[in-house]
Amino acid sequence: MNRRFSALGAVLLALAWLLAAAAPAGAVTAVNPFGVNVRASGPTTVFLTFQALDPGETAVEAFWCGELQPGVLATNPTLQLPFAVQTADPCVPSSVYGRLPLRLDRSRPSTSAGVANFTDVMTIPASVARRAFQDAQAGLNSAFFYVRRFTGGIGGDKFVIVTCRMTGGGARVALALMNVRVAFDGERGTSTVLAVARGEAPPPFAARIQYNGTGVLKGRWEVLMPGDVEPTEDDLLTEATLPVERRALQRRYTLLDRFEIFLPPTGEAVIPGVDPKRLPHLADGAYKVLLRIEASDDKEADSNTGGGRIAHAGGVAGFPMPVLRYFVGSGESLAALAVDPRALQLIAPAHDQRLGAGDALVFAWVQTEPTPLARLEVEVDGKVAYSALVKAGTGSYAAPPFVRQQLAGKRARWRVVALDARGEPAARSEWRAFAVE
Amino acid sequence: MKEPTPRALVAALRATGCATRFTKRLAAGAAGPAVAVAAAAGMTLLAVAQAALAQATPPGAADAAPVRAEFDGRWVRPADTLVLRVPQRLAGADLRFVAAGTDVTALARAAGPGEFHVELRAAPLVPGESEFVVWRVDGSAWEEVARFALKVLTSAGFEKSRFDPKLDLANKSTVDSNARGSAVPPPRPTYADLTGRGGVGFEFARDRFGVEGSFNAAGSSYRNEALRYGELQSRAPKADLADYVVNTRWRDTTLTVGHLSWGTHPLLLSGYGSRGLMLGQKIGSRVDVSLAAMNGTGIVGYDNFLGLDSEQHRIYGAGLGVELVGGRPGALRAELALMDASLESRGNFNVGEVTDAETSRGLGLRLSGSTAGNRVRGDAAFARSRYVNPFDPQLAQGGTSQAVARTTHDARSANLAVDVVQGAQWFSPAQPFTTTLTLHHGRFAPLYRSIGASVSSDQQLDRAGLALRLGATQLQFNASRLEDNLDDVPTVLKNRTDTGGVTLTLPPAPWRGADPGRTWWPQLTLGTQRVHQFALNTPVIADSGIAASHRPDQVNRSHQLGLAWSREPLTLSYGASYATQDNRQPGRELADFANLGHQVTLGLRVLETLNVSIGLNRARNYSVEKDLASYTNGGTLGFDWTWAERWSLAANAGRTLADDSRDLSRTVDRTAQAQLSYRFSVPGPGRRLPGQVFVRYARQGNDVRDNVFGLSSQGVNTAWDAGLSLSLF
Repeated sequence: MNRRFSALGAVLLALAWLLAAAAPAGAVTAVNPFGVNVRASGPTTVFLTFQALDPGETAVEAFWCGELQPGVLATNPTLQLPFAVQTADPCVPSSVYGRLPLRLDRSRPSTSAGVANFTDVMTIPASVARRAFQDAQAGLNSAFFYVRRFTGGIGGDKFVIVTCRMTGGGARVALALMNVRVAFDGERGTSTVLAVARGEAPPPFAARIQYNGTGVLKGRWEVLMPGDVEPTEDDLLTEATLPVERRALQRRYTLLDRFEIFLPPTGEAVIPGVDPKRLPHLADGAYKVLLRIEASDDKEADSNTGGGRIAHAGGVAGFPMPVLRYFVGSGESLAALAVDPRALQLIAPAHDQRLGAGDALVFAWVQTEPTPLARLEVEVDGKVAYSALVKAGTGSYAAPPFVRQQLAGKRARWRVVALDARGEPAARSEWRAFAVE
Repeated sequence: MKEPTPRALVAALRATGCATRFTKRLAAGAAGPAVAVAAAAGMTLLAVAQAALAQATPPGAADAAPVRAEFDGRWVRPADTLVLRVPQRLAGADLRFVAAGTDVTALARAAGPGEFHVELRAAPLVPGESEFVVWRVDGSAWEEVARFALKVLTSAGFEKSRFDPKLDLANKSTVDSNARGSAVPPPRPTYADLTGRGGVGFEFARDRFGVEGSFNAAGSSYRNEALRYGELQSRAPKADLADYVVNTRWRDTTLTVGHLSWGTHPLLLSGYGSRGLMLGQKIGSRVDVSLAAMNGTGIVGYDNFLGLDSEQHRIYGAGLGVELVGGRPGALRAELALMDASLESRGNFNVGEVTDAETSRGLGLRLSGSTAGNRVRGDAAFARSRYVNPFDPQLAQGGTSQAVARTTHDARSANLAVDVVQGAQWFSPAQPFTTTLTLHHGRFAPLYRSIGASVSSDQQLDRAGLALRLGATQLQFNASRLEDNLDDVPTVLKNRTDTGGVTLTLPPAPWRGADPGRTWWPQLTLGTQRVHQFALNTPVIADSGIAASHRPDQVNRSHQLGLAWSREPLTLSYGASYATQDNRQPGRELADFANLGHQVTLGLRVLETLNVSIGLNRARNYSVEKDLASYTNGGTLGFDWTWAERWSLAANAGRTLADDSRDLSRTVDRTAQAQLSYRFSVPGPGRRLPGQVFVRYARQGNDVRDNVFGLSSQGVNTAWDAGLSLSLF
């Protein structure tokens, strides 16, 4: 269908439409931004502000269409100006691409300097962009329209139009998150709830994101600890997804670290997590690592809330941020509690002793309650590097030269485990650190 | 009589051992009369072997004979006695025996001349495959005498056997909480919840059969913490299945049920993770086939156990791989992939994404290979996908909407890496020099989409890279060009993105002989990147709404510096980044910014039991258009101290200040918490059960002042939490 029509017809239709459909003063007056660049080959999310609603005026639906009624289009043929608020559906019914799914509807009333606004987060699914692109391929106007219908205000229903221009999704598009995955690295990262033994640092983690636009993404890593209040869905949204006055009400949790990274207009990035040793891992219980995205000053994502008050909305997202779960619980270190460490006293090497090139690596200990055997264990980086079974009453062990070579330049630790007649641990000493040059 | 060869002698010796054991069984009545003939034959063989040995072994030949181990190449039980026979030349030597990395000399006893028995009963070995090494010790010198394969069965008689149940229960409670000022009060000022995590991991293997897997569940008495609360809210089960997988192997066939990741075609179906079934079969040494049926998205929960409940939300895949060159796997491999998938508009568990209803069916081919020595390697892939978004009730919401046309499109990609110089020892044998050239090409047609692959459609990407590596030192150059709107649709903007960058990585001790653990020379990373994105076409404004100011022409530059020191007991890192944006399109010339960030982190092991960490950061963002500088300054301080075996104390605090040069807004966030915990154990069935109790104080406050919106708030939340946990397995 071609939307071109004669100039005279356009003017007449425009006048008629303006007379019939222009909204009276007092109801929702405008939307900002009124035109946005969107990704032609994928989803897009933009923060919008519908300004100056009447008391009692509420949003009832939102939809996209590829074609406006000729009379409406004629008032703004180059789509460079805001459309006037309409009192009738401005869309050609057969060109409706779809309606904003409820799961993506993050709209809510907002008040800015005493003015009742309505904040909307327009998330265009890829299927809607696909419909628009197929129309553009067929030779139609590539721009399409997002329409919000309001009801309950003076003068009945109002329809407010936002123009969507099809671009590549990089520069000149609002900085917004389209896909976010947070995971621990490696095979263990596939666990829904990672099990971590007490005292063991979890593996490294990162967030992999797909985004539109470009700019600086600000945020922080936080951790929810056992006993903390569970975050609500609003807490898990990015700050830019909320109206300005609600942003400070998001609950904060224990800060792990901040980040502020520049995202080029290339659509994919990795936000590295913090050093995993900084994740709590000493106390038992369920933990959640939270990715908190703050609103950044991105000009393409700015929204005028009225009176020149600009809400920054760089980093908007139509969904809550995923959380990373881990559970600190049973492990070797906990099982070790079942035996008494006082039955073994370590003598050499001394705590934190650094053995020089000429020093012999001889382990010595005293066992107050003899058992048939004792097992000497030497660990490096949390893994057993060497062990030796020693008969009762011996109390020492000279390490072979190859063990010494293996430990050279490393920090290691050692302990002794007393074994009963069945070979089961009867007592364990505490770990003691040492280093070999 | 023909003189026996040494091989025959060894065989005879082994036969002797076998016959001896057989005879013992016979004497104990373990063998029936039917095997009496065989017993007689064994005895005969024994006699012949012993005679042959006696005749064939000249005097003094024992000195050259090797150490022999009865268990070499056989599976033994963990508490078996290992029998070793040593030659006469080792008589009286100080021998040591190391099994699976453990010195087991203490378990050895001389059972006769030249024969040692290592009795593992006193300290059973860990099941699995490892090595048994015999050493001769002379003073402080250890000389390796013999080395054998050591294969230890599990106590249940499997080559591998593992059954690890785990159940952790934790009570957590808030005993007091307070919200002051504008702080949001907690929904439950005081509470006591029970949380838990349980699971079982198992593995059994013998001969050609094996089964391994795990089941994990998590739960909470507070439904808002349930795994599926976000999806089911009040219907979410409080205890739920988090994940499971069971992998069964029989000869060359594998069957996997549960959470799996499947697919190797980068354009069609690549590493798709979900719950389902996968059957794999190897055919000979060169062909493998696999079939998979999976749920459309990653799920948790015990319902939809196999993941195949919904026909409208399912992915089927089939793959065939053929090694075209025998003898060297990976030399040249061809793969065929088929996929048929249908998705409802549902998200993956715990993934933030914008979903749609989709169906796609596709075929993919992939060829990958490498030369001997891996100097040249690469792969090429092609895929054809038929895709459509079916009717989606969530999008239609009872109304009508324009249908999406079903389309079939292609995608292709190719990667090539060539080690122009490979491992050259021009500078030092310890620091080989390698130069690698990489090339990439990818073209994804407009509207190309496959459900199983994360590919951006309607773009062509060409990329080249050159990496120079000297030991751990690396210098890398890369350049790429990306174009979209491949069909040149006149009303849609067409962009080009040129990217170029250089990265340098220097290890802590780049020079020969330096000890990385002792030097104060930091690891250095330096990177710089330039991205220029600009429009290639000028759509008619009336047909697109795209004006000159909407056409991007933007240059971004970013630079990163990283320094890291790691020297016991200290780790210190410093990172700096600087990024600029230069807009050039009409009307946006001043929409530029510069962002400068610094970050310092310090980790210090003050004692073996006391670790301290400090983090500092500062960022400055300057908007040219607004002549406004925004600042964020923050810091964290924390420590954990296990001052006794059972006691530990951990605390941390953080503060962040965000403000700007025109005092438009100011935000201060403060968090602090301290936790004291004590570990204990209580008597349980068969053993003591470890547990822990903790008490924690947490404080969080923020001050917000926004002069633009006239907002001001100050609030503080405090809470005293306590908890008790017990590990039942």
